[in-house]
Amino acid sequence: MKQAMTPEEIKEKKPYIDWSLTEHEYNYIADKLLHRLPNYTETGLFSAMWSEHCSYKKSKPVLRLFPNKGKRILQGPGEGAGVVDIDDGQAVVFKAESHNHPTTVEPYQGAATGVGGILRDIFSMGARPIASLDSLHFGEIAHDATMRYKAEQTVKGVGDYGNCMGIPTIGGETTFDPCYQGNILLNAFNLGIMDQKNMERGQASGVGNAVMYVGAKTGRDGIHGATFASKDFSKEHATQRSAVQVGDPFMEKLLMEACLEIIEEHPEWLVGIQDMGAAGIVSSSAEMASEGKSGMDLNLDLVPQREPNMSAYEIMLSESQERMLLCVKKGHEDDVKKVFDYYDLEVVTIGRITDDGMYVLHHDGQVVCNIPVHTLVDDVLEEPSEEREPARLQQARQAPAWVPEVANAGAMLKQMLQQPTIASDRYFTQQYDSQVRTSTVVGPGSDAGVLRVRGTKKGIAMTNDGNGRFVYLDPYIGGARAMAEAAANIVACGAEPLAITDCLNYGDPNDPEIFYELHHSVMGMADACKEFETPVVSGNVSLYNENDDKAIHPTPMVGMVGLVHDINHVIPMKAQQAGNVVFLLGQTGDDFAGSELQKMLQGDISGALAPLNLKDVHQHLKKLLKLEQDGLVQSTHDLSEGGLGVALAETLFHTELGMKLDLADLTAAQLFSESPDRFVITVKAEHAVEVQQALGDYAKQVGTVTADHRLQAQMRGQYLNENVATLEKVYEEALPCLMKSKA
Amino acid sequence: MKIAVIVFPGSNCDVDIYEALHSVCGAQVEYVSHKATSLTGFDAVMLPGGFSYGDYLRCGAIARFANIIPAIKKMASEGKLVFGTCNGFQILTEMGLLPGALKQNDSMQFVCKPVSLTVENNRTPFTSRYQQNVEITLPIAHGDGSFYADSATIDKLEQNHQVVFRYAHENPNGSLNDIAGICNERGNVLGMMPHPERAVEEILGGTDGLPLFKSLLDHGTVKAEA
Repeated sequence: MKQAMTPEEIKEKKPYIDWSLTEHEYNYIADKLLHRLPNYTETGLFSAMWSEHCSYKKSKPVLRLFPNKGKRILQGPGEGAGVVDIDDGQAVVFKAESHNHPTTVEPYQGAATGVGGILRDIFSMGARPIASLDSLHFGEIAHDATMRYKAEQTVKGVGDYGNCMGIPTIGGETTFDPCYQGNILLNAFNLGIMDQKNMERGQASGVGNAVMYVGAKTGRDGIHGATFASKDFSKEHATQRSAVQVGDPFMEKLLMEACLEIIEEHPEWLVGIQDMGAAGIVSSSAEMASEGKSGMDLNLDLVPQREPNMSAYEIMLSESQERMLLCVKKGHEDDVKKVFDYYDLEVVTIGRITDDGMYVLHHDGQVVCNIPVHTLVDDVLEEPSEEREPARLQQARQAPAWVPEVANAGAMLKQMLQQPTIASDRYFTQQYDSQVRTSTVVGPGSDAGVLRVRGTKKGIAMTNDGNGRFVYLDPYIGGARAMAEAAANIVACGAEPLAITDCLNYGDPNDPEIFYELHHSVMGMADACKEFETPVVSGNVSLYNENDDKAIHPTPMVGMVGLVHDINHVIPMKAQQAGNVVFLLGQTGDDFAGSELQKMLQGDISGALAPLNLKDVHQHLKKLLKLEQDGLVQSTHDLSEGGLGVALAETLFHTELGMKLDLADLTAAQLFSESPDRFVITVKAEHAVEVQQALGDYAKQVGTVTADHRLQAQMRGQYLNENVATLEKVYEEALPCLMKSKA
Repeated sequence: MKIAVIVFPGSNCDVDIYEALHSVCGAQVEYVSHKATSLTGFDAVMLPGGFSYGDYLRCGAIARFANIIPAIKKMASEGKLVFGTCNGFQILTEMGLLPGALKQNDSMQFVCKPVSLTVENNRTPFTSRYQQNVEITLPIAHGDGSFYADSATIDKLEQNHQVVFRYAHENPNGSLNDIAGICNERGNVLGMMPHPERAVEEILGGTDGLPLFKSLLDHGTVKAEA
């Protein structure tokens, strides 16, 4: 087929600018890499492969700050997903990925295909996906029917895909803030498990070996999705609808079963396997060839196509879902085909591995691309970025801290429990099958989700945490706090933190202030990763989260995974028994900057964050975990949004118990302060002395669990006395009520 | 006693029911492909939950044409035990072994949560270990679980005591007469929307599903009347 433009026309008309390739990059490719003008197809391939989404050209210098080695780390960033040793020859494989732009434009399919994409990353490593989490950030839903529709459809998209695949969604987080009004965030996390011997890589090597295409046919959907993700939104985005793909979870279920069958039962047939994600065939094949230090020769006429007359450019850049690329040893093509045939999946050999390092594409009898593999994958120009501290940070440090007064702690607690970010998200999470595969020990609604590992005593804990407000107010401390929060959630259920994945969601990095946010929040996260000994094993970067030049709060999401050594000793979040002693762990100060209370009372957030001593946090976590593992702790809940008041209420919900507490050294407002590094734990009376001794100044005994269903606390100058059933009712009803409202 | 768990394309609770019978109850269980045509040598057959054929067209509507279906019908006609949960129940109605149909939930949402049920008939081979009218808690996880049949069929189901499980307190999907599970007239085919296979171990949150599998294993090849 004739190319849409000649190389000379491309040089002159610069269509690549629309595909997010800069003129500087284009000239570099032509002058320094190819020593000729790239043709239309080649220019398209470069624009996709050199997009931020595929190349991390903007964020790479920042990502290097993350530690990614550790004694349990079998595979760090660079492959489909990270791999972490969990003993007994087993490993967990996990990753989170953002699908923010597609979800903003078409919430149902955007969310569904976000889940589908992350699942392929996991099973292409040779692991069986066993649990998902999500991290959803919406705009305000009160008085906004469109945002309610988007929230409803996003949740339905996540649920329908995961439910059909038969993979439980066991937790996550949902927040609401005006900063996400024009650009919602969907971060999907998945974790798989495998025997270490089955670990696969996305590589292609061995002259003459086959490149096999498996799964759904290629259509025109999602062309330039990767570059779509690397631009910001504007009012024009209605015209970008074609960039969204459509998911078919049934196809993916078959694809998963067939791929795992080959990986587990016939590993000798396979050289490598990779999913076709962003930038479709080109990214999967070029990355595999680069990893295997090989060349590749593909015939695009053999690619199964859903629509007639597709150009080479369209075939290569299509982001049609549910497709995988396999490199199969010569002579085993028919063996592989038989397995896929059983599942009624289409499988075609579309090319061969060569040894000349060239990436060659044939289409309609012509060579439409002939360029060195490394120019697509390894020669991407890193873009130096300017950074400048946002003026608001300077101002915040100088302004006096906002310290509210709360006249009626009980009334305020009820109001807080109804804030959408704090209220029960059961309305959403009960649309997810959280139990399929019958290994879910702790499902949605707790600090972290916990799965047992069948056939062992082990359990795996996992959590997703991000708080854009803190990062907005102070990128470094906010980044560190996201890590501290995730680690607290893992330790709260009695698990040892192992490693993290992340999704880095930011605005346009060409804005020096936004690059500053990215850089400094990653510094905060990286320092916490080093202190907590939880390396980064995988992750993803989503920049350009803006709408009409208004950026989201910088929202790095931490997906942390922990190991439970004995699944029978998972620590519940709920109070267990009347007579148990309640301890408050950590110091409560006037930390209202970025708090839910400030947002609720002021309508916006402001102020500076108190520094966080990561060494202290780490010591506290280790001491608490030791007590939990020694069987001295009955329940643990970490304090986050809404502070102590909300945490106490949540500790009592869905029990018949109450608490009577002496909090006389706290003001009523401090009940809602969001100081970090705090927990509420309950212990048996006979263990109280031992627990106090072990935790020292970090813990304060504040009262007891009672048999009546009331939350009572002496505050400074006030007595809180609320019926827990009433609190639970407002907490449970707030979100369904808002979602169903007509206003 | 040897039990078959049928694996349709898109089945995903096959592992759960297999493990409930094998790991928890110690029964002899085998997966059988939807492409097989015989169930010779098996004494009972399980149709698991999931999304057979993606639930495209209508839940269970494509599965009824699978190669294995005649063998399942043959087992039912021989009085052997046939059990379907969730998608398995939907398939049983589509293939005509049980009356009625499962419609989309009234809420139009998928719902996964524990529900209360009463055991309405403990004289079936699947429920003999339960006390009559006992209240139990089992998880549900479905988008299309609203049982519907014409009033004559409903009357007949009630008169024959074919309603085996009924939702108590709260009807989660809009099922007529709060029906959660029914058997055929002979009592050897049971379909239900809740998932007993998810409630067989304390660590998973309860064991109220265990008596169902134990009852089934007690009965083995015994032919029972409703």
